Amino acid sequence: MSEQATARYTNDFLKEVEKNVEEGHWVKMCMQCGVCAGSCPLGSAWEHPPQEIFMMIRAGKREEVLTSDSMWMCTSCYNCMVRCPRQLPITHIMHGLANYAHRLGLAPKGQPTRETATLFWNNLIKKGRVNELTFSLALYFKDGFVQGIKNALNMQSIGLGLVMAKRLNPMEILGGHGVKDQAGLKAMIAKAREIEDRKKGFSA
Amino acid sequence: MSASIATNQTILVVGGGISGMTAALEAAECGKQVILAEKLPTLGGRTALLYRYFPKMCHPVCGLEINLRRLKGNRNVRVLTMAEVSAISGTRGDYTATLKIAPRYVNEKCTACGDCSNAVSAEIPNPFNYGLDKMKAAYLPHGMAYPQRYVLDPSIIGTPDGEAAKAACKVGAIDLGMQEETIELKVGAVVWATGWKPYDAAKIQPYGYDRFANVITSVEFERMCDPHGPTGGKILRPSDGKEAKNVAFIQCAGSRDENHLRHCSRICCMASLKQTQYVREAWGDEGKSTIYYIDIRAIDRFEDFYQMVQRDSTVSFVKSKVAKIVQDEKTGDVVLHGVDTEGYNRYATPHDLAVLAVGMEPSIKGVSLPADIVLDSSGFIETAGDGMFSAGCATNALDVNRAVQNATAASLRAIQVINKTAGTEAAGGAARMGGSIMAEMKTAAYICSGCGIGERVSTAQMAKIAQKEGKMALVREHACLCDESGVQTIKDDLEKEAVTHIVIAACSRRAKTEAFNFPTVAMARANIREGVIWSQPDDPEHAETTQEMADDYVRMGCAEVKKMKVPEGNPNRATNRRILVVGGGVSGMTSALEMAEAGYDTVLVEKSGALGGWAAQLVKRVPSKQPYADPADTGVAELAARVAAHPRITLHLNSTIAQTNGAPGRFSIDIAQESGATVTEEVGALIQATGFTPYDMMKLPELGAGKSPNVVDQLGLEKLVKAANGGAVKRPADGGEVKSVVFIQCAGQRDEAQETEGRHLPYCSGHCCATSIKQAMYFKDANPDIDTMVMYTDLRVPGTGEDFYRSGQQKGVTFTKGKTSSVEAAGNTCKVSFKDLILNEDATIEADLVVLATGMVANSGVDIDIPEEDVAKMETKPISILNLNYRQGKDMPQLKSGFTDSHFICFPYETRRTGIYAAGPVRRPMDMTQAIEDATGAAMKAIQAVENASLGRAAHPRSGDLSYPIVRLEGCTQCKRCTVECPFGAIDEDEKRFPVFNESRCRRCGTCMGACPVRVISFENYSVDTVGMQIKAVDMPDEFSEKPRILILACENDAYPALDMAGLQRKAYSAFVRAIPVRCLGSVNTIWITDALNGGWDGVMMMGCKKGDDYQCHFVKGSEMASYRMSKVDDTLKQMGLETERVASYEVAITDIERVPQLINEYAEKIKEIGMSPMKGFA
Repeated sequence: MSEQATARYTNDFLKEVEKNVEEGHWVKMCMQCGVCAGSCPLGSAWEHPPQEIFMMIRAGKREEVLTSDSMWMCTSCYNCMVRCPRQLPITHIMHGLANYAHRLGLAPKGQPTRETATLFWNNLIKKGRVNELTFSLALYFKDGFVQGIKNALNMQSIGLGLVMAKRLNPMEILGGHGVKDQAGLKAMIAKAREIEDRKKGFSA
Repeated sequence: MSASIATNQTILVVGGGISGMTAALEAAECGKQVILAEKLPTLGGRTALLYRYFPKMCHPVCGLEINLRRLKGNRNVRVLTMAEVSAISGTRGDYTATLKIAPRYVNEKCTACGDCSNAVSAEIPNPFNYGLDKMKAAYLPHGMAYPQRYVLDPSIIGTPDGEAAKAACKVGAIDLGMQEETIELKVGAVVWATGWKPYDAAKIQPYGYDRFANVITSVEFERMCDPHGPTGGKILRPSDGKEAKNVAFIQCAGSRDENHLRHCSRICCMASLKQTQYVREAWGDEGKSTIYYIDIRAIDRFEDFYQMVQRDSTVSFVKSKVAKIVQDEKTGDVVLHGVDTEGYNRYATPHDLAVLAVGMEPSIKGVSLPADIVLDSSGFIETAGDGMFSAGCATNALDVNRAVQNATAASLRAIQVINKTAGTEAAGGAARMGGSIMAEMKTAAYICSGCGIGERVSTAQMAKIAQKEGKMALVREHACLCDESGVQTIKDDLEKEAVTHIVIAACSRRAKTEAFNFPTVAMARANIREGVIWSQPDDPEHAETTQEMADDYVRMGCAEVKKMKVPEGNPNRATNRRILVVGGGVSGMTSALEMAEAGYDTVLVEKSGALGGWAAQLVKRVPSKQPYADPADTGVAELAARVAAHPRITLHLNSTIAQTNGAPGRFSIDIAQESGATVTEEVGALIQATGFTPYDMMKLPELGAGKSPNVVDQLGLEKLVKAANGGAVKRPADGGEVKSVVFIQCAGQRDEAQETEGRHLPYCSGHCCATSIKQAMYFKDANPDIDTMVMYTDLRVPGTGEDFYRSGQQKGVTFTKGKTSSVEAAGNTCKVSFKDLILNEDATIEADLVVLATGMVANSGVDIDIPEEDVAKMETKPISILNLNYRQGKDMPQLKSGFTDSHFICFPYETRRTGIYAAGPVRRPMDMTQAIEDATGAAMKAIQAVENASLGRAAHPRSGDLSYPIVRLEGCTQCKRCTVECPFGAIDEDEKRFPVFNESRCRRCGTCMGACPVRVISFENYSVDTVGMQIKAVDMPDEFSEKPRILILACENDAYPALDMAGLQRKAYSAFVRAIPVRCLGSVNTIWITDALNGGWDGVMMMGCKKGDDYQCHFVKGSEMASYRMSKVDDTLKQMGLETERVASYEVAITDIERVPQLINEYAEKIKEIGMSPMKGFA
């Protein structure tokens, strides 16, 4: 399904989105008024605003939609959602689309939001708690060692300030604290993923 | 007021806006007793607060004046203002309504003189200007307010202001102790015409209506543009009073929005398009309007208006729902933020003013109502109960024209209840005929000195003039003629003194009509109040000329009344109450059935062998009931069965109309049967419900018609679905299963000259968007895997149609805003090429089936306006439907694009052939829901026509008029002018070419009287003499007096009320004019002009309604005829040695309250320049 070619303006891709994207069944309800596009505070950063993405989905532009970085721009301000005259959960659809594109491996490489989210997730599922120190360092060093040092130096004063204020514990570098039942957490996430994969037709 | 005046024969109409007034008047003009209850102190509702109507840009108060005149002349309607229904109990035919009547603190004695208002200092926000300005707490709501009585705001009761108002009133009209009253009424049926209110704009937070002064609503903008509104018609920014030249219009402010109103309010697109023209009117090319929209819903022939606005270089369109507005604090500009979705362009555009096109919210929403009333998802009344009906915008979001249509239908439904309750079928009204055979003429004149008349002019002198010059047998003065004692004085004289002709020298003939109601005698009204003391400055300098004016009006009244007779009604009246309907489709069947249910025998003629028309070919119909989600049963079979079984309906299938002779009340119609035989039916009125033909799709080869069998029109698709009989729909090309369907909207429609040289239909057929959604549902409901796409440019599903659109989307029908460039056959499928207007790129799609939404072409018969030589050149000769044996042609005149519609916004059923009404898609493109309403309304009008005809009285707009044209044939020279010029085809010619007057076809405009060169045509109370004698009666000062005399012949429908209102607002004009109201400028006979000039008058001003394509003349072409005749008067003037400027024609609208005095003064100046007429002293 995910690999099949979609003909233009047939409902194939729309159906794929309805099936696999969170809140995707709302896409068909858009009436192209454009209030979402105009309401987005990051609007000018979007190559395709939400309403246009919805139209592209209906037009069967699978590749263009899933490789787009537009939905990665969403900051969850919910302006579009409260204003949408059809009450589409636009924010959720944007995240759903981004997640789906990511799972398919079609999301743009190096897209900062995507990378950050990946690091966040990987960090989180290790022990069930976000380790802020290792997460920050991972972010600083994601573009190489030299850049990482530069980033770290730039953030030096903030980091020290956080340590002084006891908001950051340097000892967390050793692994840090986590949830009590870590095995249980892993099992839970594995099960969730299995269910999601089964529902959305991912093989792996 | 007590319960006793109402019975179970009475209809209660709740709401006095245009729908309520219409419902009440239509029933009353059918002889029914009606109580009209209005919450506010005046009738007129929201339309009275509009500046102009779309698409004609005419003034709503013009129709209001006609409706008020209908009301004043009809004794069957009781008006209750400030009255609200608080409870209703009982059942059909037997309701008890409880009404609460709020205190007005002013009783019936009020003369609207305005003294109380002058005495009061407190001011309150003016609700009639949506609070944009303030008014005195003792007020007359507006210039057209009816009842014409002041109101005291409760806030001044118990304050010194209240006492001051009371002290100022000279007629004792103020009653500060008035209390809320509760009354109970027995009624048989109830019509809810509770209307709408503008959606609360403050709830649309991102637009900042509550935060930014320069964001206003569309209803406020109407008031702002009205010259009588808070800014005097100037478009100004509320924040700083700066001229607002760059105006933004924001569509769907509240409408089509599940956070606010679910439905589309239908009127707002047209309202904003109209308002862009206000901006143009105000600022010309310097103005700039921008419309921000989702879909422009300019339905049916309103499309023309949209196209016209699109061509206007000052107007631009942005397809975008505006995201938010911010006000620039420095400049005061409002900056609109959003994205133009056609190609994704982000904007932040500053404007001087933003106008929110706020939606219509039903007024009744949230009010506690009787249990029978069921509201739909938007709060409109869906069903009101067995004997209760809804009308106008209480039913749905409707424009004025449709609201009136709907109210007319509601009126008939109420009548059905009343007639059944009474057991009097086809009862009609009791004949209130004119006076009995007139005894010897005895005249009387009554001079009123109330309302300040006595202080301004010498009524004693006027009385003397009435006696000496007017030769009145009785002359009486009275301090307040309209009060009980005054009216009693007149009544006593009629009884004891056998007075037959009276002159009332008091206020305008438009005022105090309830008091001065003496139908058994001839009456002339000398307009001393509005026409003299209110239009002349109150200073010693003007005292002499003011007195002269008053004296002349008395002379004129006396001269007029002596030439008047009490109209006795058309003697050639006929009383056939059967009604014939042509066309057996949904419209025709509905008309027939509704009339039969009201107790009228009906003849239904259908060309084919079966009832049902196109609707019978439909699988399902677009739903008309909530939740508006699924295609519904057409109900055609049931309707046809009811028609076939109804004892009052006679059916003629396989039949056409061979010939129509006669007039209302006595039509004789030859019906040609299939066998070749002819039968004749005698009926009183006709309804033409001949429907439409689908536009021939073969004219659309570019859209694949004829090139691929897989391209069908909407009816073609119905056939395919029917043929599939519940199974999968097959591709016509090869019988393969249909997996994808593309619906192409506006195929061969909305086609303007610019793009394709007008090859196709210029209008929008209105129903096709919803029909395509319904058809897409046929597929989706059967198999959700079938792809269905609707390709549209503007999706037009007004009102609750928005719910149906949503349901289509829910079911997976996809919608693409795109323009199709071509459809080609590709193997067994089709290839559709188009431009996607959102993604801004060309694309193609493969489809098994392509459905072209072609439009409706009216089956209206022969276009009688096409010259015969042009008809001879036509390829297919049009076939007449009615075969009218009328001098003026075989069918009804068409209005536009072949539709037999009315030209009047306020009066949708006014065809130009009396007693013949068009219903359904032959009148206007429409869907089935509307056609059913329309057919019911037409049935109402047909019933009214037979009732009027049987009483010998006129139909609209002079409904109830018992006068009729009388011709003295021995003087006739057979010139044919009357037969040619009659706008209603009322006059035929006999073998000797003498005119044959069919009085029941006549509308009493008097155009024939104006046309007649030998002056042999007259009405009993309106003739060449009634006006001619007035012209001769005035006192003519000599050449050296420096007092010229200017005659004004003013149309009584528009110009005369404008003069009155100028008086009401104390706008002064020259004292040298004398105004005579005429029924229509078309009734002006040139002899009046020559007589006036020969008699020494210095100038003649003719004031009539607008002529031309967008004519305002209530008699279609009266003002046009007058203008044509006057174009020839120049020769006469030259022969007389007079300057051509001595006769001038003006187009005057009822709203020209400032302009009319101005015109008069300018003309008086001109006469002064030209000099006095040399003709004085010869007469």
